[in-house]
Amino acid sequence: MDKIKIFFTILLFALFGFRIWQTTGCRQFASFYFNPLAIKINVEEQVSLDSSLNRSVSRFFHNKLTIGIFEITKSYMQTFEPRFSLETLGPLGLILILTALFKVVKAPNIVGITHLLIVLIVSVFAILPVKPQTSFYILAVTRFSVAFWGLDYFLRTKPLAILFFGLGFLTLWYFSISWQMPTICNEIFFN
Amino acid sequence: MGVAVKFQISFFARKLRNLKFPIFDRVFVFLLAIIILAVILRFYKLNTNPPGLYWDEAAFGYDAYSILKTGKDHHGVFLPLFFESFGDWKLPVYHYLLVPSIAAFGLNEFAVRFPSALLGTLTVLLTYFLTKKLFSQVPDTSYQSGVSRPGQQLKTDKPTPGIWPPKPDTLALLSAFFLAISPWHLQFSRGGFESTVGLFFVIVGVYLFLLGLERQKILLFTFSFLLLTFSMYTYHAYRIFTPLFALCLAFIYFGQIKQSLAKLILPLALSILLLLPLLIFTFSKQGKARAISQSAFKKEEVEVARIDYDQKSKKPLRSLSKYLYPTPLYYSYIASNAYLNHFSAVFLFFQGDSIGRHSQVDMGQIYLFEALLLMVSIFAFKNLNTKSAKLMLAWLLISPVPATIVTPTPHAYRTLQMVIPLAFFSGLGAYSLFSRRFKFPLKFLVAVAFLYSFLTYLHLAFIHYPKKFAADWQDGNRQMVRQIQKYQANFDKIYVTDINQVPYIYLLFYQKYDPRKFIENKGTKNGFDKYIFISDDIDIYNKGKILYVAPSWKKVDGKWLAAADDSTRRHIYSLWEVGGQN
Repeated sequence: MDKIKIFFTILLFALFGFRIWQTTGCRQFASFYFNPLAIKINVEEQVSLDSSLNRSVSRFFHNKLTIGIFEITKSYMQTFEPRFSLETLGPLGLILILTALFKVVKAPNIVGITHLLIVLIVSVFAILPVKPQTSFYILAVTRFSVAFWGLDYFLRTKPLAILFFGLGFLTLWYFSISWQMPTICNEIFFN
Repeated sequence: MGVAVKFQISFFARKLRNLKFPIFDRVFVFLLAIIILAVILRFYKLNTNPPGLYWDEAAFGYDAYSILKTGKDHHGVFLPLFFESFGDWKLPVYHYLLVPSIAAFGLNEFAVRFPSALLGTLTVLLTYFLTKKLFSQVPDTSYQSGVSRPGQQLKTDKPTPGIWPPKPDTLALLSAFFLAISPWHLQFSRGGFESTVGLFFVIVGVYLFLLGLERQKILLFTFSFLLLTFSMYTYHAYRIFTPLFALCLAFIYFGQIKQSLAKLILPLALSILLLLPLLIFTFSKQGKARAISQSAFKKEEVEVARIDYDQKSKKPLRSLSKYLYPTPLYYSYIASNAYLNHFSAVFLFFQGDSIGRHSQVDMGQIYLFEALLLMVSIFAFKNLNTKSAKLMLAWLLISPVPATIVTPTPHAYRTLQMVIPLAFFSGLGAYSLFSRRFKFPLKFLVAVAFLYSFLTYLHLAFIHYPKKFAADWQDGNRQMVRQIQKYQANFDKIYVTDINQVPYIYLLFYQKYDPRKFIENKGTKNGFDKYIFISDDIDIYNKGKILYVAPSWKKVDGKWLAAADDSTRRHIYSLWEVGGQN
């Protein structure tokens, strides 16, 4: 089984490596950057609809604090969009991530929880004013690393191993067909 | 003195409590409070908020009115099973539900929305009963032989300590509460939407099915299957959701179903028989036309994607395109993207459906604080390894399926079924959070976040929404009809712009135009009686003296008579007298 594990690990590395190689054709990465101006725009837009209302009441609902929390959380949670995850990890990677999550939730262990916490913390970088390309690679690599946690599940039985292989092919096809990866890249040319 | 009074009050309270009236049952009081809240949230200002009447609502209303008066829809078909409406072939249940509502309240906005609001409220009540049923049954020894009753604990390694299994009443109350205040469910309960009714039928159907399994009553199975069949005649999304969900039910409760097979055959046969017209409709010319018009799978799109790939790639990758883009595989790519869009955080917690009729847009389909509850529920879920929990998970996972084959996505209306499992998981998260598992500050923070979010929702729904989304609800058409009524006696011909596509339905609806007359005179969307509906490029001069209802921006060579504004005072139409000055 160890040999198979090594083989699967290599296969997974190859698939993720292929995806990373595809992004080298990207001219402009999509950004998760949180623009503070969004708060001001949102507050002003909402307050303008409250013309007939007491200003204090309006400000209770539309103020920089609550709208700020809303907008920052929105930018942060966009880094966990399922479509972004699918485009980054492919069907196999997404299933592996879900398996890994299931494993950690079912039997919490310090390494698994720390790993998940790292993913949560690192995702904050994406909303900071860092180069979108850098933030994408940080997000991608941390997610790839979590995916490896799910590998064990597919080593349990032969049918699961065959399924893993099938999913690997599906992922290769998916990566090829979704070369444009709209949630990752705004403009791309294929190398 | 004060002590004596206090003593007497507590003495009487104790006495009254001992009388066992349901009013002193804490669960009953909470449930009553939740239902009252659900009623207020669903019925308050129902006729004016949402503003205006969307053309589908107007068509529902007038067709039901026509059935009430003549027994025929406005196309003249006697008690139709499928309503032609605007050529989009609507399913029948909502129309027929509207007949008594219109008979009772008249032809107006309230009557059109009443069944949806009423059944939306009842769905909250049913959520309580369903959740209670699912999680109240205690395990018995039969599970060891592989047979289990609905909701009972499956075999687990060891009993879970602490708060598990959850108290069914509390979990059921919390689920009902989260559904009662759900912005998603409220949005569709407050409009003339078929999906709310379909969801009601599904939830009652599932409840009766579980009750049937428990009591082994053929009548319960029959009603259950009938209601599930009705849901498929209510809204198109349920034509896909209900069979898939029924399969899940069958799979999860396979052991018990096998035991009750004899009692299931007759109800199942009846359902299949009732579904035959729907099946025939699905493969008819009309059914196919509807499917094609809404389909997300278009061959042209595959071609566009392939050409894009060819243009942007170099050799040798370029030559791969014919192998990469076989149609069914590309369709599965589109469907998977559409499916995942419904689990997007932006859709669920921040922005909702981009169509103004389907959400508040300035907030998600559900509250942001529910994100935390849903996360907590993941951890709670592992302790809830029951068939019932699996049923809720299956419900959540198959809900977006009907929306994956149509555009646009994410689509809140076609996936309304998601609200039940989401309310359940929020309830489970809240239960877990408030059951001594977490420190007080976190509970306090969640309570404050909940209260603030709920107040903000009320503010958005009742102050912002009518102003911001009046256009989405075709507001202004009622005012247009009122203005026409003021002037129409002086004109033989009235020309109305069709800029808002189907103005004829508003003239029929708001004037309570006699459907018999409309049918007998072969009225159409292009004209009836003295009304003619025209596009903007038609010459309206040289037609003698006419009343012309023009779009607000159009300059007309005639005498301006009046404006028709919507409820936000946005100018929608102008009424002109044309050709009468010479």
